[in-house]
Amino acid sequence: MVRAAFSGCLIAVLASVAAADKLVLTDGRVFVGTVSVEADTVEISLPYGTLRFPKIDVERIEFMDTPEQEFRKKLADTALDDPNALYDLAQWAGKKSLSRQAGDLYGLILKLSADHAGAHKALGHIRIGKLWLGFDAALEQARGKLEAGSYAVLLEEILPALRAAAPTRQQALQVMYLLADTQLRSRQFNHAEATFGELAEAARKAEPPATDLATRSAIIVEILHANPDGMYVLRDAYPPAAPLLSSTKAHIMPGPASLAMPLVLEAALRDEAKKEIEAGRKFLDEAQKLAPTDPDSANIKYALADQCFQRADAMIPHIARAHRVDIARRKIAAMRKDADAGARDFDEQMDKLGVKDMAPQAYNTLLQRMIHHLDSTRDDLKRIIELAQAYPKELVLELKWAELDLTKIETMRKDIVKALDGSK
Amino acid sequence: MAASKYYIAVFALVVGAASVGAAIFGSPSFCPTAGQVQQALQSLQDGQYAQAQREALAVISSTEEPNPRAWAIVAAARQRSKDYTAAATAYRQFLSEADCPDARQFAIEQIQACTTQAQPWPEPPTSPGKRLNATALADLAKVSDRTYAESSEHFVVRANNPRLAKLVAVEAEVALDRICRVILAGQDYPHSVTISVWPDTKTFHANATDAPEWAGGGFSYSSANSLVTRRIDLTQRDAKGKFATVMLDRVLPHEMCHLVLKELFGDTHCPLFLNEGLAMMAESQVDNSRIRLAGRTVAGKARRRLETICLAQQYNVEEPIVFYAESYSFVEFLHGRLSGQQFRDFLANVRQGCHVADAVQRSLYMPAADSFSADLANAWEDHAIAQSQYLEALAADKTTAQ
Repeated sequence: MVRAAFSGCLIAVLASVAAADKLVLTDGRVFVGTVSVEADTVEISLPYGTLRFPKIDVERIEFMDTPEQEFRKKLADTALDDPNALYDLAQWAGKKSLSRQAGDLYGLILKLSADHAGAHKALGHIRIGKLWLGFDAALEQARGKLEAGSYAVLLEEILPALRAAAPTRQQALQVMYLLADTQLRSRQFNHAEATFGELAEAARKAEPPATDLATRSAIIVEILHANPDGMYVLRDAYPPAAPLLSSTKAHIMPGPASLAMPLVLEAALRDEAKKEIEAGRKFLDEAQKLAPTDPDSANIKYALADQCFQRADAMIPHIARAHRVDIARRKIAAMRKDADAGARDFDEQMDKLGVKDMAPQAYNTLLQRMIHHLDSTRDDLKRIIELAQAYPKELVLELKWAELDLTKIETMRKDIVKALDGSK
Repeated sequence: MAASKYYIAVFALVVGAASVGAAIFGSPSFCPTAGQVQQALQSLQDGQYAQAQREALAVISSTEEPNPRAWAIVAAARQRSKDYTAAATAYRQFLSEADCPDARQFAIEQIQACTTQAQPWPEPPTSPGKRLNATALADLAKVSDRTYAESSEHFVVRANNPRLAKLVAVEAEVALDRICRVILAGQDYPHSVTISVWPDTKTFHANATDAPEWAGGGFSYSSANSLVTRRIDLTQRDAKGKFATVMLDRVLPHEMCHLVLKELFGDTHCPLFLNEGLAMMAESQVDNSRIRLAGRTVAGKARRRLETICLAQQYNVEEPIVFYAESYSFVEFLHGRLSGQQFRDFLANVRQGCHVADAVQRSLYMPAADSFSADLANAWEDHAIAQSQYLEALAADKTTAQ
């Protein structure tokens, strides 16, 4: 039955095998494809079509084995029930860029010998305990081991294997983070500092850059550098809501504690995030003061505040979200103010339409001016929607109002355009 | 597979460039005593305070590589084993070696905390009314035809009794200090307030026209032509013509707290529960009936949701006595559980228009969580019930003893 299964698979493997003969013409041109010789002509099948040349133009034909043909021959000579022989062939196929054939062979080997280390490794599998796992499953297992405190096996076996098998750069960064975290939890503070430093660089240089990871890692480096003995002094209990909510969950008391404990590292990061939030709030206050008289300077301050809040969010996810919502809300309020002023101008012009006896030219000019006002308000509303959509839960009212107003404005614009067309 | 090889190469390059990374971030710091420090921290974490102290002191006194940062472990171990005087000494040692502002601030706070803890438990303050004997009470009930004025740092007191004017000025300063320093956690109040003590309810209402009919005191804050007037009106005597001690004990600090909050919040609306809760906290003696009522209500079927309490307005409050008790209980809970700085930040966030749960989360510098409102309500309800049950148990003990 095993042999029957092999045969089925191998037919699939061999189906793609094609010849690669070399046809050399007297004018020096060379073609590589499948050559067939006829009475007066030589025909060569190429990937893009078939060419036919008179025999007289042909200098020579080199009939060659393609890698596929060679593979077929080797396969015929290989014992299909010998996993090691199949493995050698799969390795050879891999070197000849026959990755699909190699992959199929590795699959066959694992059917013969489920624990074949070479085949598993070639397929990017990682051994954790007695199990061979794919990269994602192995990464999850590794995280579990970290939580369980199995640092030695992680550092000595699992993480080096994961490092070697990481299929993408993002996954390589994840493994690096896990490595740094494991070093930290196993109290190898100087190693952890070095790995987090490398990680910050790698994350910054990644395409696209993993900015949050780079920021977080760089801050951890600073924290570890300032506390080389791995001791951090907490000013408040952590998580901060624990004393308020009488939380029964594990929490850290104020005072000295080891950075090897994840909650202590989180508390240290939160202290840094707090500084960023305080700096951001100062910019926000300055922006608020500037907004009525100098909106451009206010916007610069808002941007600076947002940078601080982004850094804080990189350290502790969503810690500054409420403040970022504040920025959006204030910007929306300022835009609303502009839009309201525009709406008042529009209403004034609308009033003139009804009461003044106008020349057709003046009437048209007025309509065009009204359309201009509506367009300007429409742009404001679109910007409001764009801003509010980033925080749909918090800015639900702003979003709904802007959407409703936009619908109204589109309808009004259509009516005015119709009136303008009618008057022409 | 080719891609995999590419990323392995990238990874190897990144790992191989360790020296480059180190050059960018500076050489990783190495501390030779890290192992011993970690051991001491583990003992501290495990509650083995004597061992933690021994291990930390060994690091400090090491002849090769002394690490004075370990004084923090010694201090914490002593503090957690309730040896506050020795803990304060260790914190001072840590303070002298700490190079980080946060660590220094922490040491200063802990020295203060340990010093306070090391003192004998202070006697609870006596309310001003209880300090007065029968002669004083009779004296303070007298009403002269003349109006006497007495001034202090923040107050100008007018009353038809010279002793009363003086007493009110003194007690007003005491109450203001408690409100600003303790309740509002360091709020300034650089203003002057006029306090008028009217002989009876009739004259009080004739002069304090904004005060509700049932009230025995009131405050007003008005501004005209850049001139701000701050005023508190009080009643000297009760319906029986006796000196109203409640005026000193409760009405004066209560109204003063409203006035300070009015100043603090400016044009922004101060939620009713917060305004009344803080004003009740300002009173010079805790009214246990409020605590018991709040606990009973929260535990009963008629309990109202915290959300309803936080959003209540003067005109839509049902069962005002229960609402006031719940407001007091919730504000006292928040005040007791948050640090002074956190409570001040909380007030600032409410002033900026934040909802209560949002204001608390911002003051704690924590990511906003959807479940926080419910968690806060549960924690407060548990607190209210526990406080109430404690008082009920005390009352039961007293009855049994009698």
